[in-house]
Amino acid sequence: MSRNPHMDSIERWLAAEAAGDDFAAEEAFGTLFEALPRLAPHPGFAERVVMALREPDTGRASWLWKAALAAAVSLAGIAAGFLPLLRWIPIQAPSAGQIVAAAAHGLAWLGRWLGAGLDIWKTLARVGGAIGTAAQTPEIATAMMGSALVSSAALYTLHHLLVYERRV
Amino acid sequence: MSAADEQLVREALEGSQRAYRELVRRFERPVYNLVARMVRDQTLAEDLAQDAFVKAFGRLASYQLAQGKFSNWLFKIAHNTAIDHLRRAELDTVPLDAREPESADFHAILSDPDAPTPLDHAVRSDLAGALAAAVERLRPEYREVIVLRHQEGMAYEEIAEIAGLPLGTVKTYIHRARKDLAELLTEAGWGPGRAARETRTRPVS
Repeated sequence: MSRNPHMDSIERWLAAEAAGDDFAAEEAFGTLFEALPRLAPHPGFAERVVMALREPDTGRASWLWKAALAAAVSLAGIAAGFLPLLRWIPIQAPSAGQIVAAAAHGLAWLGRWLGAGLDIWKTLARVGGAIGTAAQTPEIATAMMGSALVSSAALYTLHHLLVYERRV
Repeated sequence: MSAADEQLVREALEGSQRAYRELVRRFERPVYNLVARMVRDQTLAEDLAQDAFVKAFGRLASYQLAQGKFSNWLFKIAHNTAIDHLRRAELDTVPLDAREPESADFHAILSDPDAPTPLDHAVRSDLAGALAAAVERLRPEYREVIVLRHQEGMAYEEIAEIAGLPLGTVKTYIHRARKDLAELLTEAGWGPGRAARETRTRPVS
């Protein structure tokens, strides 16, 4: 008369556990555990997952936008907070200053040249000239470069988040 | 990960719906089984398993960078999803008798056409039911490791990676889970005497 194999397993397992034979207990328990069925999702589960993938996750998208905006504003705020300190930073880079000054002169010249055009260009030239003049001071030039770096970092973060969002 | 899985991941990253669908079909049963055993609610498990797949597919690019076995990476996400839920809902504070027992169709799954007699089938169904009930009474971390070890056939190292546990802890959990199950099944009358009784009451065919 054959016996249910799972009954044999449970006997072997419990006996092995009682005897402290870990190896035999694990082996018998493994056979017994086959009696425990694998649970399965309802039919059509795969289709539902694919459908869920197609649905735009508006909550997550808006969260990402908020996070990106907050990151950009925070970076700008932090950078702005450090600007006054630049006045006390001894910048000893005369050659760099000369380069900046030359670039500023070039910018001013370009501004004057563009000023011959439309009024809008005149306005832009005035702004450019003002920036150029201001940039002749090493502190201001450094501040501008710092702002440019901060802006680049913020733009990079935004770009990274958008690419990630598109993949999702 | 198998070459076929790798190919499917690559196609999915290129936007192939067929590849996504195929990946889900390959892993829906083990992922769902793990989550269902962890949260002990089959309807909720379906939502959580779906969340796990959606999260995994959203991070598929990061998986490619990490490499490793796709199934283990997917199980880790399923594990985290279930754990997050358990932490939020404190599901394990719900008393066992407040929940529905595993349904009748649970036993239907056990239908074994090779069982020589209806009694064998009944014994196996009873045993499966008793085992399922005992597994439900284990601590969630024990349930998880025992399912990964004995239903998914994973190595201790793989389980440690998925559950984020030290290797020694995994071994201890599996050992303790087995001890607890032995006690629970013995209490439920599945001790050595049971088999003899079952054999004696078996009808002569």
